[in-house]
Amino acid sequence: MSDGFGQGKFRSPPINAIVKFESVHMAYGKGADVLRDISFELSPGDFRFLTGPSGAGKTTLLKLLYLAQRPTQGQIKLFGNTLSQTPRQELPHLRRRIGVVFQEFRLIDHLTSFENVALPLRIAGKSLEEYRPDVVELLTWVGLGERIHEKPSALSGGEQQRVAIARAVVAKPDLLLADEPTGNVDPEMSIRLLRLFLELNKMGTTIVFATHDRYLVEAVGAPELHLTAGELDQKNMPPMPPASALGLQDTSDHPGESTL
Amino acid sequence: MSTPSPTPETEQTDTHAGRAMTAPILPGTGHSPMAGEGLTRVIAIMCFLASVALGAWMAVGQAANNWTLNLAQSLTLQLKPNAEMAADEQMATALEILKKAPGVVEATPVSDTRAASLLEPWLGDSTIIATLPLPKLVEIKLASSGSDVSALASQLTAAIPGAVLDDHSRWNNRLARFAGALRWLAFAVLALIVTASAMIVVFATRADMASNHEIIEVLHLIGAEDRFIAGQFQKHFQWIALWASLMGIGAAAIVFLAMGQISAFNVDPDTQGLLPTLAYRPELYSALFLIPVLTVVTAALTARQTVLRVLKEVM
Ligand SMILES: Nc1ncnc2c1ncn2[C@@H]1O[C@H](COP(=O)(O)OP(=O)(O)OP(=O)(O)O)[C@@H](O)[C@H]1O
Ligand SMILES: [Mg+2]
Repeated sequence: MSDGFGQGKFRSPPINAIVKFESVHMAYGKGADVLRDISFELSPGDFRFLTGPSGAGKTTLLKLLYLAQRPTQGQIKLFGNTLSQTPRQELPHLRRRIGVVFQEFRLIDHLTSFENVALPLRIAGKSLEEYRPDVVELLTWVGLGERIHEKPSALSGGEQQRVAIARAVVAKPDLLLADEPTGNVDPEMSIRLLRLFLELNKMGTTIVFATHDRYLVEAVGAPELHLTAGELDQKNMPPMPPASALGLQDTSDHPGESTL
Repeated sequence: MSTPSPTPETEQTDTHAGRAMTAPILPGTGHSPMAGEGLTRVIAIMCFLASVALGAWMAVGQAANNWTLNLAQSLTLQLKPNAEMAADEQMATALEILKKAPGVVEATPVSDTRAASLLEPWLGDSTIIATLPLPKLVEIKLASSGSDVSALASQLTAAIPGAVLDDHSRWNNRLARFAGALRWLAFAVLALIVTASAMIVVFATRADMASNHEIIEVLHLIGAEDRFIAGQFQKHFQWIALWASLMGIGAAAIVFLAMGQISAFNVDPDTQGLLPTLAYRPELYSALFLIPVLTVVTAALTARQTVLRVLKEVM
């Protein structure tokens, strides 16, 4: 039986870590620590759910990962760079290797879906001719083929979320961080979106997926980074469910031909 | 679009996408007059005011020059009725001397009736004036150089008893001081309005930027370099400032032209050139174009600085 997740993929070999946290603490301003003594590693191709109750610090952990915040203590290594020693002008290049689905989407209001999704590619200096087919295909795949030229204000919450996901994945990032990316869509669409993430994961993208949706966590069976009040208790390798039960392992190379 | 499109449907997608290529990351960069509407209005109004202040400064300066110039280049010779020499002889001698004097362009005797009409406001009915022993007057126009007023004065007083040459210096000095003060006042008003405009452009640009904070942050987080983000904003505000300031000076130019038309009806020889006029003047119109240049530079630098300052505060 072919195993779509690849047994070894969720285990983190200590070498070649794409992300490495060493005793990281984080506090906002002069407040108390929101994250305490966080240490973990991610290897290329890892898939981690980031779980925990509301306010546990999931978004904060992701902010550290997408370089919006610096830790107050401890060290973060990203793609082999120790962040505390990386000059500021190098950070944009690291950020371009990271795709982020923000919890609150953060789409640019006056740009259409197409323009929002194309933004990372424009920033990377790609021309319209180069990126147009990818952007259109991706938007079609997330079910927004008809809404390519709508602005966010004309989209439902779930539709905006799908635009945000498309923007996060369009540049085929090495690290994809998703903050409750299926929080606003129906279960059917959330499975469909999950397939997109798994597809990318199969191609080598490391994924951290923050969610409250136990169903998704159980369905994929990937390891969790579980936060409780700012502290990490890494649940290692829960028993793998039969992937065939969800049909998730049958991922074709072309997302558009998905069987879901 | 270069790609040929088989169906109208694709064609539509193409044009949309084509627009997307040049689609500015900021709302309506320059291409639309509706962009940054509040800011556009503020900039246009301030540029209009600055233009008017500039025009007023130049007009006042010009008029003040004319006053002093007119006075400095004119003399009045008074021939007082006198026992030693008859009025006719006085006049003939005076004209004789003036004809030969260097730098004298014109010497015109003032007719009795004109003298009477000049005095009428003070003395009333001209029949009374006719009975008075009035001095005869000669208006003298000097060339801008080559005249020696004091030599002329001593020559005239020596030859003609009762002759007094008035070089208007009393008036001239006072007027020169007044004109100087007026010029400074106009300049101070201009300087204040330009400074205030620049400050308002700075504040308005910053206020408009505040609404774009989210865009700065998103661009930053998805990996845009500071330079790129600053450049986008600079371009955006440059266009707004250019468009708005051209509207402002355009409106001012229309006002100037209209006022020029009105003052063209002023044919009164006594006041022509003496009253400030905003009539067509090439140097005013070329100076007006400094205003958009300054405005664009101010807005662009402000936008750039604001973006860079915002970005400096984030990781
Ligand atoms: N910008 C901020 N300034 C100060 N405190 C903050 C800030 N953002 C978050 N916090 C605090 O940090 C803690 C963790 O917040 P965080 O957003 O990381 O939680 P979360 O796990 O993502 O929650 P949720 O599931 O509701 O999204 C919370 O107590 C929150 O109040
Ligand atoms: Mg959160």
